[in-house]
Amino acid sequence: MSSGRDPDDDIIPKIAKGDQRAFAVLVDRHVRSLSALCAQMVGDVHNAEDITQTVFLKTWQMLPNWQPGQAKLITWMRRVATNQCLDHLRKHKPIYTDNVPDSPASDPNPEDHMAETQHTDWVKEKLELVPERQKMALTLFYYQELSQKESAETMNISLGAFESLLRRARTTLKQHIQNEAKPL
Amino acid sequence: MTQDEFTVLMDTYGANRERWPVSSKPGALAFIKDQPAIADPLLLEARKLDEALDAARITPGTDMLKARILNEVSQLPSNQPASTQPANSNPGMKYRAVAAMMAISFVLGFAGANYMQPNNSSASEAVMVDNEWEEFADEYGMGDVYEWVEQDALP
Repeated sequence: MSSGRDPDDDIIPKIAKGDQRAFAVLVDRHVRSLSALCAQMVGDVHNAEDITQTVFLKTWQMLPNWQPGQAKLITWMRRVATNQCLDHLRKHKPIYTDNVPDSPASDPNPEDHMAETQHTDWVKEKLELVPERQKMALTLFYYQELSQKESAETMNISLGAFESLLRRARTTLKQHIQNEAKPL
Repeated sequence: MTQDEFTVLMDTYGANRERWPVSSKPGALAFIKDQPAIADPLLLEARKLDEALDAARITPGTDMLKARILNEVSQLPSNQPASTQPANSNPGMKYRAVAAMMAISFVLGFAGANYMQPNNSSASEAVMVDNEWEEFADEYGMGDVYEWVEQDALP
């Protein structure tokens, strides 16, 4: 299912031999995107950080046994991340506490900021109502900005199945939003 | 592209044409141009949902996390797979096993010495090795042994 050359090919053999500097490069390359993926899935930053750390530690432990050519390393890492997030979601109810908001003191219009924050939280609550697999499709395609093919590959499903999931996800979210009077 | 096909495209990928599949783009753009009265409301509705999705975007900071991950990895043992590690790659394990064996032998030997040689034998003669202890326990049964120890009545 791999598509093209793995962009991490240059560091994988080094990490497999225990090179921590090469591992630092891997972290540098992917920590932002993976932590964003986890944050979007579980809905809060602290748990997302813990999951992201787990993903990297699993990667470090797995790489000596890595079989090149099966999938890109980042695809494998995203799969681990999404599975970890699903496990987490099944055990915990997500909460929103720290969405790194801008400092109110630097906001030129606090009322607008508050309204915007409330709207953001409101949309997030609606997003929480979307079933896990549909949410995963939304996260990979919209927030991770992966192609349809990469998203399907990460979820280990066909392109057609992914498109169907994505469509259902948008429809579900739209219904939840429309069920309340608050306009988009 | 038909109206139904355009609706499915909007429902699946939203209004941002950058997200549309390459194969659908020409047909969708032609539909927008030819049928604006139908396409525009669908585009508007899809754009609102896109904006809602954008509003729910979470952007975590990563500097502390990066340091945390690297610190954690630096404290882990070598990440070499078990199948490729030489047999003596973890000498500590071997020494721990030997130490454990010695400790067990010592404890059993000390206990055995108390059980078997309460009277005249020297300490060195009184040390009981594992297999002797097992034979002793097998012969008399552990319950009996403990009872004899308590009563100081070993045979």
